[in-house]
Amino acid sequence: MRWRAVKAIFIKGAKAVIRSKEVWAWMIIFPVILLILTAYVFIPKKPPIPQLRVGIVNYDTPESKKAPITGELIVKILNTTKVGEKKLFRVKIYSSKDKMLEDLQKGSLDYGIVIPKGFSKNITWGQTYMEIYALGGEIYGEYTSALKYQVQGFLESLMKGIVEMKIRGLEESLKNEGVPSSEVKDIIEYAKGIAEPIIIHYKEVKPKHAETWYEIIGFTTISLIGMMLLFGGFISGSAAIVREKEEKTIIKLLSTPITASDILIGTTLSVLFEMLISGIVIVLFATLVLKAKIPFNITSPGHWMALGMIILAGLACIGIGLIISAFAKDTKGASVLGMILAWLFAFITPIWFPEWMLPRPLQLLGEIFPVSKSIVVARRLIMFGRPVSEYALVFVQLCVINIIVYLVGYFLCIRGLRRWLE
Amino acid sequence: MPREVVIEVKDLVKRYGKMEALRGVTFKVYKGEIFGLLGPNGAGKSTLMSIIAGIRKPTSGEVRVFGDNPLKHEVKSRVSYCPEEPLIYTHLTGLEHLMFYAGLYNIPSKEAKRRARILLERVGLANVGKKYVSKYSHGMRKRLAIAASLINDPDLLLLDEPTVGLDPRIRREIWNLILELKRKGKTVILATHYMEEAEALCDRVAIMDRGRILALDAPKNLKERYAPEATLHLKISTGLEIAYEIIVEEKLPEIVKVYKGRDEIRILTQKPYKIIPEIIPKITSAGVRVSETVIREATLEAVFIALTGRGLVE
Repeated sequence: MRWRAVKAIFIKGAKAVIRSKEVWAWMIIFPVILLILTAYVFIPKKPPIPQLRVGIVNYDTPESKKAPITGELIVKILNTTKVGEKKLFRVKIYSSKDKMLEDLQKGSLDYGIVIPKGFSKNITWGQTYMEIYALGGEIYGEYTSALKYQVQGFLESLMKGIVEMKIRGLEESLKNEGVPSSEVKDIIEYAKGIAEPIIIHYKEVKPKHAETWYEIIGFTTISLIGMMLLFGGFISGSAAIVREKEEKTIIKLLSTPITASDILIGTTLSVLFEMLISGIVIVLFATLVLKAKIPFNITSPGHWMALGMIILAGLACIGIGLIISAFAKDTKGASVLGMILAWLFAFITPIWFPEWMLPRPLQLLGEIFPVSKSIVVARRLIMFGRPVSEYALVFVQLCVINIIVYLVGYFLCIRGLRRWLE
Repeated sequence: MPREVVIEVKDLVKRYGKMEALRGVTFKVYKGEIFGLLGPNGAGKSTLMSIIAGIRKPTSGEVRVFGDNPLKHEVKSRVSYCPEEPLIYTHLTGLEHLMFYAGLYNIPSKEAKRRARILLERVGLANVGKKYVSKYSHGMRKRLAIAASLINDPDLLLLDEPTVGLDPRIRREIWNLILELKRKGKTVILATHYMEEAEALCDRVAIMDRGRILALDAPKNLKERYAPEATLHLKISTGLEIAYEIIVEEKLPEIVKVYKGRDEIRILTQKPYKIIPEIIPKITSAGVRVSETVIREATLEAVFIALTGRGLVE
């Protein structure tokens, strides 16, 4: 291998990267836009609380004005519940259930509540029911499940309040009946046990370094670097050699005292340079503009291991690009195929989405695909502070697999070049 | 003293699938020679050049350049190939382009820059050396490609149709450059289908057609041997067949050979001025319309016609 020749090919490729508007659009502008969208649209700092459109049909007619809990009270609570300054529900009263259901089906309501006749009487003296109709179906997907949590949370709080109110009423009645206070206490405790046998204290424990919005954006930044490795390697890696063949510049190149290996190594270095530029811009934009937190520690061997894995994943992506170039007939075909595969692998393996958000078969695919596995491990090491010892063996395995993927592309490409020249 | 052989080609055959591009080509090229490959498109000139340049492998036969295999790096370092199309990188400037090729020939950066500047000056591109090649005209690109092929100061230069598509002034400049290389003792292989280029520059010319060398000698010798006569070209707008039949049947002793082209008849003769008044009235009275009559002195094209019955550009 002649290093001066490799250097010349690398510099030529690097200049093509710096001077190409297409590369700037794909490798710099696109990830920056995606980061902005992620930061302000997909993962906003303060997620907005949606105002639910609730239709109510109140058939309850209290027999006594003293009834503590009535249908009217439920409507009032719904009408006045606020989160901060914002009302949680936008209530619309209906006279008939059919009319309310009709509006729900049209999508004008999110929920419909039917308060039955005798509600206030039954809730005061025993048990009652309430019909809740929710907007649903596949078409609404995530939207309805988000609303469901909001409504369930509200109803749980409402029921807790009613239970407390009823127990207080019971306590007062017992005292008025002259039941001794020690017995009253026992009865009340027993009643509380019936109403809520187990008080559950639910607390969310967030992963280390992925707790705040800034850390989540840091996590996303590593994912985005993974995505750009796919785009850089698959598209630029595949097009570089095909372009030389298509424009016939390869003829002139091979008349000089260099080998096909020199051309491939020089090209690989220029694509790695493209990835490096893209990665630096992403990290700088994320940390300086969005203030993302990436807890990279230069003294941590685990973090260097993660960086090594990201570089090797880039090499594997170039290898896949070279495999594409060995079979592609022209630059356009190579780029389109590279782009399709890059988009596909970005979303069906845990590169853009975290592994826990994907269904099991795709998680398994992510385990097999060395690029996604490298990104997952790098994220765990940097963002979750996992110990090096846990991933030492995986690191060695990934190094070997990523290099093998690159070498497969390398040799296929050399074979393709030889065939083309014969 | 025997002349130093730079290229030795023996029974060279090259096939692309079923298509035979070269069919047993044999010749030698000596040091300091400008050796022409003259033939129409598809004659096998470019394939032959690419094998000598060590880009493609022959199917059979032997090629030795400087006594060695042309695929070897030591040989490639002394050879340079300038393909017909100017294969250049449009995202680089002219200077960067030459620096890039200097890198491929392992020339240190400082020396590369010096050579690149001299060459840009030599091909008249010094004032646009820092401009992107994408802004260059076809002629400028062609000159840059020639400059790039000189960056390694080659002992053997392979030029494939170096003046195609260039205006006469630039063509003349490139001819001067080639002659200058000869004066420096360099060997040049020049593939062309311009007969005047081959005649003006080449010491020896191999006339190629359909993958074979039909004749090889100095242009003067070729003309003397194959085409001592002038060629009378009769451009026929109506009645080509009739004209051909009349001329052949006439059997004038001054006519050596008659060829029928697509829209013209070519008559090889030593006395063109004598036969014109004899045949023109006969064919015109038979309804043939002659749109143009041209007499050409013997050229390499006449040699080609004599050898193949076809023109170089048909």
